[in-house]
Amino acid sequence: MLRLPRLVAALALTILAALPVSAQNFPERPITLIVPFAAGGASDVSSRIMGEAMGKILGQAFIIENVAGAGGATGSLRGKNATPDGYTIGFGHMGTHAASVATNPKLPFDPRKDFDYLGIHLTTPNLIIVRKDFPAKTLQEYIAYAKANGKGLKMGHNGAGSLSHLTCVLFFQLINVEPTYVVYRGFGQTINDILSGAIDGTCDLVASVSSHVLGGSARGFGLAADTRFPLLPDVPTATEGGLPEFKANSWLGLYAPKGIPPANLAKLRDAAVKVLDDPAVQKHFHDLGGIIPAPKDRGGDRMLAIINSDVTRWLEVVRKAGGVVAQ
Amino acid sequence: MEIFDNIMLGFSVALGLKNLGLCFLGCMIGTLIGVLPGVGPVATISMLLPITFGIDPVGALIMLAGIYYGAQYGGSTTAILVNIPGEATSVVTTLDGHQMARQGRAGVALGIAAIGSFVAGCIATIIIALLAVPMARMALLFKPADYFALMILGLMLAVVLARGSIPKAIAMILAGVLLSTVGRDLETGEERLIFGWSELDDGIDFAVIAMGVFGFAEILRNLYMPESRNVVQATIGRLLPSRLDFRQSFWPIIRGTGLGSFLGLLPGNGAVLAPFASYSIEKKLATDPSRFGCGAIEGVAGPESANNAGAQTAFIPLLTLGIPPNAVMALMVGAMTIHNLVPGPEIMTKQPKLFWGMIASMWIGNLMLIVINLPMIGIWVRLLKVPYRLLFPAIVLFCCIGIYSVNNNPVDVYLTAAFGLLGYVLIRLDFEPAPLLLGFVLGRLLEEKLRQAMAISRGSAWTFVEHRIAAVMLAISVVALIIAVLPSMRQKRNIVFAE
Repeated sequence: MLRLPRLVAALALTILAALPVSAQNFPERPITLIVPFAAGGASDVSSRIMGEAMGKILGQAFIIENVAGAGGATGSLRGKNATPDGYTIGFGHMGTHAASVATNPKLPFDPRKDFDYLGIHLTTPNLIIVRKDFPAKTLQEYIAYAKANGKGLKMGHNGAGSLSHLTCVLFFQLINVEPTYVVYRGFGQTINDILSGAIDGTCDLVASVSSHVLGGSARGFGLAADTRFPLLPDVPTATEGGLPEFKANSWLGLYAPKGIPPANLAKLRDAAVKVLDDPAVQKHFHDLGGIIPAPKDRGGDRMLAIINSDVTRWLEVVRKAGGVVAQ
Repeated sequence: MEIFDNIMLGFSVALGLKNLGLCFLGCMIGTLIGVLPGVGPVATISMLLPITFGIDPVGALIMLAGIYYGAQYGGSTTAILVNIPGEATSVVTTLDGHQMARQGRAGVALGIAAIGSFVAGCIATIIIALLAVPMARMALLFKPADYFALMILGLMLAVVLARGSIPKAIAMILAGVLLSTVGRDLETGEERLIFGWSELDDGIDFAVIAMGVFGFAEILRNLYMPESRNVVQATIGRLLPSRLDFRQSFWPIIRGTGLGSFLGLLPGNGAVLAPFASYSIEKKLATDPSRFGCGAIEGVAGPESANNAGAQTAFIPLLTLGIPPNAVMALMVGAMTIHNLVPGPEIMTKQPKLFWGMIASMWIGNLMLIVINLPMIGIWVRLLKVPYRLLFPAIVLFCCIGIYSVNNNPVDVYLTAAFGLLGYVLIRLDFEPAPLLLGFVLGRLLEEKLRQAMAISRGSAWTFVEHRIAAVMLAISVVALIIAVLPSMRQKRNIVFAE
């Protein structure tokens, strides 16, 4: 008779121990981070750096799973449908989780509703780059050239709905010019034809083009940010060039599927914010051509707010561009 | 001599114990994944990227590069032994390599593939060391219009590839081009030929078609006709090429190396074209073209050399201009950025240790690969003795794993099965799959470059005449087509060559 209470106590203890374990000891196994692009690009590299650093804080490895396709929609859909336990999280950026609402009429998720965000870890401003023998040396000259030549200006981009495409659309809407677009499969091919002189330039992220601007094989101006970028001190901002309306900051961030246990979400969010103070992470992101968000711009709530405003903005841009720049 | 100093610097980096070990490790992994059908260097390098976090950048890149060109060596093994191209670039090797295996010359085929690759690798490494910058500039002379013309020329080569009827070959090429248009339009985002099936949004992966129409279809055929399989098992023959084999292979290896070295430079994976081009040229130059497709050693030596040379020179645009010409090189860019190296025009001057160390390691890697591969020939050939009922489930399993690893997508596996059935039907109806694959590979580039060229010229088709390179290549294509389709001229040509 004496044994029963002990058994009950033991059982109760086990159950008690088992219940909060999932929250308290989270994470107990490796965490999968879905990257909706092929390995090697800025999205992938930044995710790997984040995974590596967050893994150290949480004491578990992060496994990067590259699920490329449909401009990021395939992988993001998989992230949305993953079991919401915190063991699967995902990567998204301004294209996949904001502009896509405007550009992809069949987007299988709503970034404003379907995710719990962990926070933005990196922003990188866009800029205009042109081949090194292009006549225009400044943004003013470039705008004048664009207005004079119209369709004679040949701008490349990395595919319908890509960030470089969207940035070009935004820029040329602002100056009210319609250039000739030459479409490439990915940045590697676009920059190839800029270096060879076949096309005039492109609009892309600092993260992609910084090495070519630094190396002198292409010329950059019209940096779409408030201040000059530390990595490219010689590249003037759009404001300096007389077009302060040109603001296009691409952000990269992490999300979890909607509805993960609050305790797990809090742990992931804390880790995602904390790693941004890690000097090694900061150096990596800086060399990549990125800016680490200011403390007030970190965290999941801020990311959701930015997504909400960006979705509205891109819907407007795409509507003005005549409807579809489908993904 | 500055170049001499640079090369010495390179060797001092590459011959360090750690880098030597990493180079060996990379070559070994590369050989293995090359042998496994479907598991390509792209999947492997992306899986191994995190491991390189802890290694210094030069060592990491040496290892990743080793995986890449090691896979080119390994890919030919599966192509020759079981008629499955382990890599996209080994498709051509199946044509004569597997026929040689059937004639009991599997060892000779593997040997000449390894030796050809070694020679090509060495020459290509020297080219990179001496001519990287001018070569990269030459590649930049190619504008979209020229590239389009090159693709047209490539399609003409596909006609030459065919063993049997030319109309059937042309039908296959066109079917391949058609398959390449499946998926979302790059420019407008419009869905094309996907019939509401969103899995096809990004088109069909090359590995899916190659594993299907070569791998699975070949297995189905062997199961249907077990006797043809037994031939391969019965005879093993000599393991290394004879003096005659070497004599026959010498010029094909040199020509293949030249072709591969050049095509490897071109953006958008021009290297894929290299083995096809080499095969066609060897067939054209041969005294007896009818031997091709029936186990001609030139048909293995040339393409294998072209393939490996292309794999090496693909590093030139990356290391001198910071342009990744194919998916593997794009991954190398990622690996560099992870290690805080920004690939770009400055890498050569600012990171001489990395640049010259990698070049030296390529030569060392090629030496290692031949040391790894030649003794393994005996083991590989013995693999043919394994009863087919045990061998084929293993092949199917590895194919499935490989296909899945490309995009982490199960749908790709089902698609491969469907292409396997299609491939089997094609074999039964006497259609050849190689032109289909070439059409598929070139189709996408053909369309993109055509549209780019037309956009740049703002709709004027004269652009293909105004660009001199394009005009010359289109002219050659027209001549090649006339020679191919006019049966009387073909006969006459055959007589001329026979004399």
